[in-house]
Amino acid sequence: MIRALAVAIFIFPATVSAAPWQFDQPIDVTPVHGAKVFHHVEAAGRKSIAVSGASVAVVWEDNRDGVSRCYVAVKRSAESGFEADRPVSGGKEAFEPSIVSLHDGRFAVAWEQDGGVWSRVVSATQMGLPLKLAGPGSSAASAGFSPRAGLWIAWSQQDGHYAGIHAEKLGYAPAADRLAPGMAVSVDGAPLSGDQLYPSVAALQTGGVVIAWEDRRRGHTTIMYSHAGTGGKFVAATQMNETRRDARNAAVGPGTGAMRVALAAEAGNSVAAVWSDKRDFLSGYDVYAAFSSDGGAHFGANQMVQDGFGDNTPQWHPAIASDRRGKLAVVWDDNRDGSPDIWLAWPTASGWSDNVNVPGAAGAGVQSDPSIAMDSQGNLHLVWLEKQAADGPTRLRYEMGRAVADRLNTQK
Amino acid sequence: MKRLLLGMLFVVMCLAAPAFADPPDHYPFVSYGDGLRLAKQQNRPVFLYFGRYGCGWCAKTNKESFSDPDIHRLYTEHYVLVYVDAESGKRLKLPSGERITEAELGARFNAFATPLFVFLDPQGKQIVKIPGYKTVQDFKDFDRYVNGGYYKTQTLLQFLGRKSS
Repeated sequence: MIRALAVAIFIFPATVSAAPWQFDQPIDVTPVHGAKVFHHVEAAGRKSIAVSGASVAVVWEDNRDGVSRCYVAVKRSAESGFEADRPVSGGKEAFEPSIVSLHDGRFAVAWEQDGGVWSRVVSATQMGLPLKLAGPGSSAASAGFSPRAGLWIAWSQQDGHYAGIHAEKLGYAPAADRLAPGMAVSVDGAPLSGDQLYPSVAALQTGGVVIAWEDRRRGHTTIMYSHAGTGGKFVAATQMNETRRDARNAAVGPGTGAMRVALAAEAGNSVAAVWSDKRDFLSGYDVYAAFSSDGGAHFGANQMVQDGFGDNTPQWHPAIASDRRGKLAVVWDDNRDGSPDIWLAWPTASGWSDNVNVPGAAGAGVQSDPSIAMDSQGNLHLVWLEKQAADGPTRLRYEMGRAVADRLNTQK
Repeated sequence: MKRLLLGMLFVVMCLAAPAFADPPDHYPFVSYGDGLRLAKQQNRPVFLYFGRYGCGWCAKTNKESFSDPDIHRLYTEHYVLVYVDAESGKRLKLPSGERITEAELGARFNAFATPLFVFLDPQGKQIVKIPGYKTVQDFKDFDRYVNGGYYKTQTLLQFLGRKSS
């Protein structure tokens, strides 16, 4: 309690005033909510919001008509609110939509539907035909796009005894609403010896693509990654998270857990990753990050993102975004202040910033499950779930953090 | 036809099993949603076990504590047994009608460590949450605390303190 007061009185004003974004008031993404309506923002790679030109688009799943379906809502920057949402999915039920900007006012959405994976183009006014990418046993779709790399979708697909990560480069012509099928490939060429789950995709400005995922080949869950150059052939997978053995867990089990990796393509050939990591297994999952500056060939030493005040609290749902010019932000939720709030950190010249909770996305009730995107001006766009009780109905909320000049010096 | 169905079920189980961590053998663990329904129907408390794929302390607990015949008898007689893989994307439905994943359930229970054991009353309300490896005697004490109804008047620490004094 005393420590919390010390944070509130002495530290927070300083860190909030130094934050590189000033946040607007939050708004609802969709007016659809109520006692029995539950929204889900849980895309693989936590890519549930994207910015393209003057449009922000959010995708989610809810059960408004009694079954799980995926929806999209678009907000144009000149407007104060989101336009009416539209269903993205069809079929009997659908889950975990992921969205990526196509950079021409359009977006690509990928989702799970009736056990398969689908994708389509959406914009503020149009919606292209859905394209089925994979059949039964497929889930956890994630999308990435850059003009040089093209549009990539990755997903987890049952291949016999285990699930493996598959990826497909789709044909997309700028200003078109139609996707063309490509050739799906297994990202990891090695025979499967454990499940591969929840991929995240980063399409690089230089034309390569990086994919990271949860991997159970080593008897516990690790984060693995692979990359492909412009030729599209993926290299052998490498482990991203460092595993730690100390006196407390030496010789007990194959290793600690790591899960739900999220990637962000930065400038040029750089890519950043965050994930939930339980290497300090007594205090729950922490947020860890790693960076690559060589197109995903190698990721550097792991860095803990949260500050010391979050040490004794589990962190959940880490998400990451970059403006591809060096600005980078990481968000997650934790309840260090007594209830789940959205927390924000960014790289500084001396490491990661102190953590700040996002105004409008913190306080009484539950604020959780964030997803972020950054536009070309470095403004931060945040979507999250809000509810007054842990098992209560949800509201889907959005707010924009306007970039404050000269407050973001990065060093990795 | 029955053999075909059983065969298909076996294949599905083989395909599905690797994605989740393992509960202890020979215990009738069910999913969270099914467990809450059964608890209400049978007016029995729930013993909720959060594990994790590759969790060494879970394996140690399974091997050294859940292998005990007294623990098997006490826990199968007194509780509806629920096992959750705290990293799994397996979907389940809450009594509220909300569809979530097992990993999300772990987040809501603030499952900071595995194994994590949570006793719930027949209405699904949390009685006590206990993290980490526990011995046979620990589990016997927890059973006495919950099944004996002591949780209604004292905390687990108070109960254990009086027991040892």
